Amino acid sequence: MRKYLKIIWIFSKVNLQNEMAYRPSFFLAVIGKTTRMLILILVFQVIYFNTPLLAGWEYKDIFLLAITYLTIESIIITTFHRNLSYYLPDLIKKGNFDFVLTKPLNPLFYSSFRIIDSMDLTSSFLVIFLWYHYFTHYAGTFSLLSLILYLLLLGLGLIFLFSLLVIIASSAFWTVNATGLGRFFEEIVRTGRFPTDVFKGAFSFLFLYVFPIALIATVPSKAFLGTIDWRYLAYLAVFTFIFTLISKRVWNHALRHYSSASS
Amino acid sequence: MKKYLAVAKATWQEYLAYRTNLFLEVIGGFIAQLVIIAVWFSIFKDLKTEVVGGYSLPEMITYLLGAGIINSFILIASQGDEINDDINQGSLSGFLVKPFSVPLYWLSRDFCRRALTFILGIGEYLVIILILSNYFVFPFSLTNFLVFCLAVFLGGILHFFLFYIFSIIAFWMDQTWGPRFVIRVIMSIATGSLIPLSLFPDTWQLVFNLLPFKFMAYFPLQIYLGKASLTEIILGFSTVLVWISALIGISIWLWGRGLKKYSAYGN
Repeated sequence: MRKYLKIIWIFSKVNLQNEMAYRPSFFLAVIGKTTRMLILILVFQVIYFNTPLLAGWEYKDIFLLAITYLTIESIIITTFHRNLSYYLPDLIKKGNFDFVLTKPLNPLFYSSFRIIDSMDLTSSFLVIFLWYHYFTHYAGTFSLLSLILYLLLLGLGLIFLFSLLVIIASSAFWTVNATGLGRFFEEIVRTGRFPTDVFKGAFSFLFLYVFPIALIATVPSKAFLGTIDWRYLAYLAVFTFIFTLISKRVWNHALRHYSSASS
Repeated sequence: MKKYLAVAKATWQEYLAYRTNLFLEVIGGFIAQLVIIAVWFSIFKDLKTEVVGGYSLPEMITYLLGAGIINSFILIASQGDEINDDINQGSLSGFLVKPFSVPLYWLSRDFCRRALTFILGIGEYLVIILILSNYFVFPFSLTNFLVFCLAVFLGGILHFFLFYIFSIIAFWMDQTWGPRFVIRVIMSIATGSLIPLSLFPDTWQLVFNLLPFKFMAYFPLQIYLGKASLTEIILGFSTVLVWISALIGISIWLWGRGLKKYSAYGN
């Protein structure tokens, strides 16, 4: 474990050096990324400018949901999102995945964390500020248990998204270019920006049970607010466990299918 | 003209090879827009009201579907990375010796990509329009529809030149991804494709009125829904033409200056 954390640290440093080579672009990208985060808050402000409630959520609670989403988004885009969505297909296409296989590291670990995005890491500081703003302006009283449960569910959401992306990225071993799936994944994650309570009927069932995007932000936020059903949490835990096992099998199967594109 | 049609044809074949990717991109955007529609259904239901911010539920759903279509097919910047790479990796040298205008070559490729995405994605939108037909508002009049189409076309031109300018600054910068990303982020809200701009507080509307982005989605959709008066339409078209002229002027000036600075090896 320590070895892998050390490697992530080295990846971060190397990538920061690479990205700082284009400083104006780096700083503009950081501005763009922080602006994008603020735009989500602005969207909710405009919605609440026109309505006092959104699917039963007050503004202070939706603020928690928004920063929960931004926390998850910041973590995945800094770490595995682009690595699996764009860089892995590129490695396979150019035949450079051979070098990954020859390294004394788990290929999935290397493929997922090879590039730690410094631009996203830098802009993530805004999320910390937004958390500070939440606790000083909106947060009511909460128990330690709800905080622990919140953090556990945040972790569960990350595992779900990682497993989903591993399955999506595995398709790159069969297709020439899988970047469209990466974009598709981004949009799926973005659906988690809004509370899943806005969906009704079949869509509600779909996003709660079949494809639980509720796990991205809605469920952790509800757990923090103390309005979550324990039976649903148990379902999500079992679902994520099985889903992770499936993704591992898909990845292993894809690796066996790999044949190099170069020498 | 024949030259650029040939470019468009070649580009068409090139992009066809990646049709699954294009299709998935469109589907992704389509799902995102469906979520926004679900949000507004929920708001209207919670408020138990007929009108929110001057929009009835069918008008809002139509607005969001229209914005989704414009966003998916018109407001896609396909050439930014290519222009950046052509300049920085020296491929531009090969184009400069050919008997065509390089900016028009990029424009042909850009519009070709938009047309292909449109063909791949319009089916999904038609299905959803059919499903939500009870909430779909037809154009205010045939004239409104034609003027709407013209406004969308001009919005596409405006969009191209805006991104073109931020791509050819590659003559001076190694990477132009940063500035283009900032523009895309601002565009995501300032075009009005997420929320109609009239629903924003006054201060924000004032800011959006000073920017060109509202002509890419909000303005055409106001025409479609019959919410823009004749005076507003005339004023809007005049302003968008001024913006386009200004951007073309800036792009010609930058292109000339950039070519003087340009140097490449190889190719």
